[in-house]
Amino acid sequence: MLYDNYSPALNGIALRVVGSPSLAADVLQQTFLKIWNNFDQYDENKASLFTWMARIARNSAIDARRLKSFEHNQKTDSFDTTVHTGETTHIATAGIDVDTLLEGMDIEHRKVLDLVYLQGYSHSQASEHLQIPLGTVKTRIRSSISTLREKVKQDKKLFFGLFLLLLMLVVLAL
Amino acid sequence: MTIDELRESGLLELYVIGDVSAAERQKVEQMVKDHPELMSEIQEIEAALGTFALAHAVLPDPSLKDTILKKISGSEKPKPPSNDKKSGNWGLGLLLASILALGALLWGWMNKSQITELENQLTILQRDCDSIVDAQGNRLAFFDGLFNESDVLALSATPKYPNTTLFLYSNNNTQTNYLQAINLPNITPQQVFQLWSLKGSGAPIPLSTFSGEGGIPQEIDFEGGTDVYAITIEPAGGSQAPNLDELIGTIPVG
Repeated sequence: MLYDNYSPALNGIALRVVGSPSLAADVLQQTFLKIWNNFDQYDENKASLFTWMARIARNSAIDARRLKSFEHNQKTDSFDTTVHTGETTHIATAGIDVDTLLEGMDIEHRKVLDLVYLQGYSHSQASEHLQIPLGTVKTRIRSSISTLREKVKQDKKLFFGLFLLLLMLVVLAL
Repeated sequence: MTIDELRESGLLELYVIGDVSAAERQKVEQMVKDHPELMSEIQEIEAALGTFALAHAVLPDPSLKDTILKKISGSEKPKPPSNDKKSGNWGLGLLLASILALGALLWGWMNKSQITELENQLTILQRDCDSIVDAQGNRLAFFDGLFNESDVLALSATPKYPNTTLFLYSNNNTQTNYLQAINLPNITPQQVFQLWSLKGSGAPIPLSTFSGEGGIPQEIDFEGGTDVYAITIEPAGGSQAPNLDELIGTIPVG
């Protein structure tokens, strides 16, 4: 059940960080083994289960990418150690449309959130990569998440409104 | 730092993402302890990022599920997911939702959104609880199998690392090793522990690396015909030849 509920989202994170489906599969495997082995360390007072698992997936993927980069460097000494673009084709599995969700979010802010949350950059790496101050990175992350929060709240209200409308129609029809 | 300063700093968002130093994490957790109202702020950030992650979800290869479950629980076949029953209870669910919604109508328009919010949170918590119970059941079955079917081998620590305590659960039939690290020397982030297989007078065979976190058994490479396993401290990524100056101990087999 844990796997069924969370593997697509965790795989999405791993894939965006490492860029290769086969390596992402290895990362997903490591992630679930770590979840299994460290379940007693999960503290529900500190984070939701998904947040805890997403951190494990993100860190495992970053480690795998570092190792891949390290091995590649040893062989060719020319591997680009910066993170890839992460422009991976995705298959949304939760009925959530990315464009709708991100509607209204400043493109520059979205870029920072994508780098830090989905591609495993630290905020200082993102600052270096985008050549913007560290404070600006933090501000953009906060702003993009605020936009998401509003969007999630609006969607909940819209869903509830539609549900009530439907219910009233049913009651009137009866 | 005040609550508002913390909110404005962007630290809460980075905390949820997991991109904070140990000191920053401690600071946030202390602030949440002192100001429990910050928890709802964190939960909203978690919900937003969870939705963002779901929007970028990618279905993994279907065969991966079996591979992972076999790794986790050995040969034991896990229980099938119990999500199916939800679709069968659709009518009942709709009826209950209708009753709840009617109640909400009577109770007052002003409180409707709060009820929806709570229902959503309840659904998420229920799903988390189900997942936790399921995982714990599988773990119990796993430990039963591990303790009853494996040879338990203790590490003999070297004088340099006398406090090291570690056990290897070795199963010749299933050709699997599980390692339980109770107490390990401190290493830097640029180092790992590495397992080696020694057979007769042959060169040591490099096996898995591990970081040693937690005391729960974790699967590690098995090498048939091993006389002695050894564990050394190596640079991150592991080595092809052991650094004998950093030998932490040996595990005789048989």
